[in-house]
Amino acid sequence: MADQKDRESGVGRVMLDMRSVSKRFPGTLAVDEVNFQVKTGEVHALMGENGAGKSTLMKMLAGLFSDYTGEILIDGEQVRLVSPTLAKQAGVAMIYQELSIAYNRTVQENVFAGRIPVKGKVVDKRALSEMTTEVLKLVKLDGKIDPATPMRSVSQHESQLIEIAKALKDDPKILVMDEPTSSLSTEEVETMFELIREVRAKGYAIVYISHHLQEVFDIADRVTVLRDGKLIDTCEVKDVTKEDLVEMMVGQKMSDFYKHVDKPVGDVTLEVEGLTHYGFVHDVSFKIHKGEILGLAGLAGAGRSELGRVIGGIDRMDAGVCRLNGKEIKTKDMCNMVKRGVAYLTENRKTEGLTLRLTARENIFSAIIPKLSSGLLYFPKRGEGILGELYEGLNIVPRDKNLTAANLSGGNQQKVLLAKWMATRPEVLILDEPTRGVDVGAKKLIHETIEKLAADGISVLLISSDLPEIVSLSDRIIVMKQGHLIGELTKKDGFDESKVLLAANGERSVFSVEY
Amino acid sequence: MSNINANAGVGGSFNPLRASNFSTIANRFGVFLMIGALLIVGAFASPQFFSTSNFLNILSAVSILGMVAAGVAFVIYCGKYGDMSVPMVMAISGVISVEFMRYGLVPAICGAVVTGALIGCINGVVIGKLKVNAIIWTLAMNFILEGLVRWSYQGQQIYPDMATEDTYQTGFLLPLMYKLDKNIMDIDLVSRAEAFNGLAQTYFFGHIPLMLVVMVCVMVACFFIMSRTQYGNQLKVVGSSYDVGNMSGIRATSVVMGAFMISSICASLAGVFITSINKVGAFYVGQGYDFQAVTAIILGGMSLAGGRGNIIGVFGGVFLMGLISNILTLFGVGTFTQKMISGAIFIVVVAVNARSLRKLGRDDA
Repeated sequence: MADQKDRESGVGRVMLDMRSVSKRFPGTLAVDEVNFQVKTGEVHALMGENGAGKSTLMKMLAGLFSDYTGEILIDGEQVRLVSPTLAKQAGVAMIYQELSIAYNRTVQENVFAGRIPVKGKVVDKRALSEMTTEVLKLVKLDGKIDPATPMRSVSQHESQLIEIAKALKDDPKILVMDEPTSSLSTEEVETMFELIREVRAKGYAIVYISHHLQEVFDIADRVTVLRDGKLIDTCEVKDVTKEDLVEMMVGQKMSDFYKHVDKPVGDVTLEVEGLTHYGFVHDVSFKIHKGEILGLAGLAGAGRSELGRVIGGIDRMDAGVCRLNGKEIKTKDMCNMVKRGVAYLTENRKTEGLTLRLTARENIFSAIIPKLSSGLLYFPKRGEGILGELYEGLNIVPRDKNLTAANLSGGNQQKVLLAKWMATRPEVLILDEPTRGVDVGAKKLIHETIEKLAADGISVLLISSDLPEIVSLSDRIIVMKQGHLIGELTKKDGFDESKVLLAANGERSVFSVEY
Repeated sequence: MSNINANAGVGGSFNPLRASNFSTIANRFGVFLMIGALLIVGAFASPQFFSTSNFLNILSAVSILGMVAAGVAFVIYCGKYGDMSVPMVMAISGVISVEFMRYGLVPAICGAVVTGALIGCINGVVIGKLKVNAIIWTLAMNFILEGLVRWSYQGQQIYPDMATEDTYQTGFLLPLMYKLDKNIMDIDLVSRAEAFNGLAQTYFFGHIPLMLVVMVCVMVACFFIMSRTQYGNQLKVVGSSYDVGNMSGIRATSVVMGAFMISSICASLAGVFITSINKVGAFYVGQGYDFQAVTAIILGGMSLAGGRGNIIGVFGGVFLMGLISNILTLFGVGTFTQKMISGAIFIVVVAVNARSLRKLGRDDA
């Protein structure tokens, strides 16, 4: 209790002070001389695009790196956060996006995991239950949730609150929340905000990471923007507009809209109407033309990959119609979709894309085994021609096609994955994050290849979180938010990274066509 | 150390394949090296070791195992560890073949194989479509089938050459058939039974047993299916990584189903022959073949992780098992001790394999 008073008396005191901290990964400086301060009783938003260094900075604070440089001061005292335990002792509590829950255990066991009270050798159930009720009070869940309920039957929203309660029970000084609202509905977000405001009033220093611009204005007092590992600015939220923030995140590059060549529009190849995959994609309709690159933008969790997977025949289509060249097709079987010329390149290269234990050749052929067969017999020799072509076109190195895929670099693995789907000679190619985790050279080559494919008349649906990529490649961009298609940006009206980012955040004014 | 680091940089993660180059080589050729070593040992064991008749002995002794192993190899290639229902598939097929024997050899064998295919189909549907753990399911299937056979025949064994009228009272299928067609009795049962029992005693050129020829044919067919057909190559992808196979437009569930069907069909063929050798159809005839087959397959360089190895290696593994048992016999080691030794070999090969599984990051190792 004394502690709490102490904190209240010191509202506005600097609680966390990170002074020119840096963290180097092989090849990149993920965080570069960043200064970051959080005061007591404030919600401090931390923003930046993917790879800007937000999570690295926070991992540093959580004690996950032992080799950072710079100084970290907590409550005026210099600390060296080289292990998660030390960070916890120093008063840092993290609430991660992916919750750490044992679903088969009860609420109380989850809250006090590892520190369950015992009487002799037996669990002291009553003490556990009372202590849990005490903790749940912190997030106003006492009376609403029985501590003995299995975690499985607790809603996502309540689990999130329990996670916060778990963090608060250790009475931390600094609370870090990573996208706490990403899986919540609008009303639930409001309850969450109320809770955050209350916690703030108690004098905690809160770091709030979010991609949603609106939330920053709703909840945060100050905002810090990172870009390419560098600190861009820290300012009061009331002094900035959304456009300012976006500009800070994206940088003032290229105001020349990619308006250049106006490609003649071909016939419609793929048309989707009212596509629904319950819980992820709702009533989505769009068309792709021959030779067009259609960008699909949206924040994480907007349902982009899920949409791609449904069209690719991997996930079930609960409602809606899919037409290929005007003919209605059933999308429930990936095997048939591949045969018909619809290919889906997964975003999870290592688990769903390539079998790393097989050779590059076997990987590339894996989707066209039936095509290389006559009757039951398989003739891999028939694929040598196309294999050579792909190796040349994509410049996959080394040229040894019998090399195990695991021995290729990330960039070349991605090229092999692209080659695997190019080998199927698709009409519609759905690319889900085609350049995730690859080096610059491979990225450039993959971009050129995608443009070449479109020029050859293939329709490309490009799902990407990489703003420069989606802006520079796409002929048209459609935007998803919370499972719905909310609008379209056309090349005629021009689009740039800021526009796409605003659109993904639900800013409707930027759309050329609104749905 | 620097080598490992370099790999980590290139592959993006620790690369188990290059790091264990030695074990890859050992996996691929190890079985033939062991065979070579044992041939040398055998030379000391007995002067009769290097004789055609001894080698024919070894081979015919493992003919049954060879047929079973060739089939189970598909299940292991598919990354599903093993088919524990093999013993009862053999037993049931044997029983069915005895039942059908009175219609001739061809119907007997066909009946057995169809039964095997049916059981394999059930295994495949449950494991492929419902994603049930393969070992647990096939083990359960084995118990169910055992119960079924023992219940149907009231725990009795059935003998091909004892098909007199009173056997029509016991049994399961027979009374039914008897009711449908009283003419069954007119068939010359004695000659049919002799033909059936003679299966195991048929020799080509006076020395080469029919069983051995069938085993080699099964091996060749399996080799062909695994390496040269569309199915075999899809199986390789699915076996290496189920998710990737599924995401490559391969109907992974059907592929898994196929593997279990092949396994059961091969086991049922083996069941016919073992019944013919024993001259009795009973629930216990296939006992131990599940583990022996897995041992032989892994000895042959096929990995429990799936997608690695080939049938030639499996043949090597089977031959090696025969060789070990032959040499032990020549040294005068008893059957019980031999059993213990083969159990120890099983533990060692599985342990070595589990190590490489863990290296590959399979947590179910």
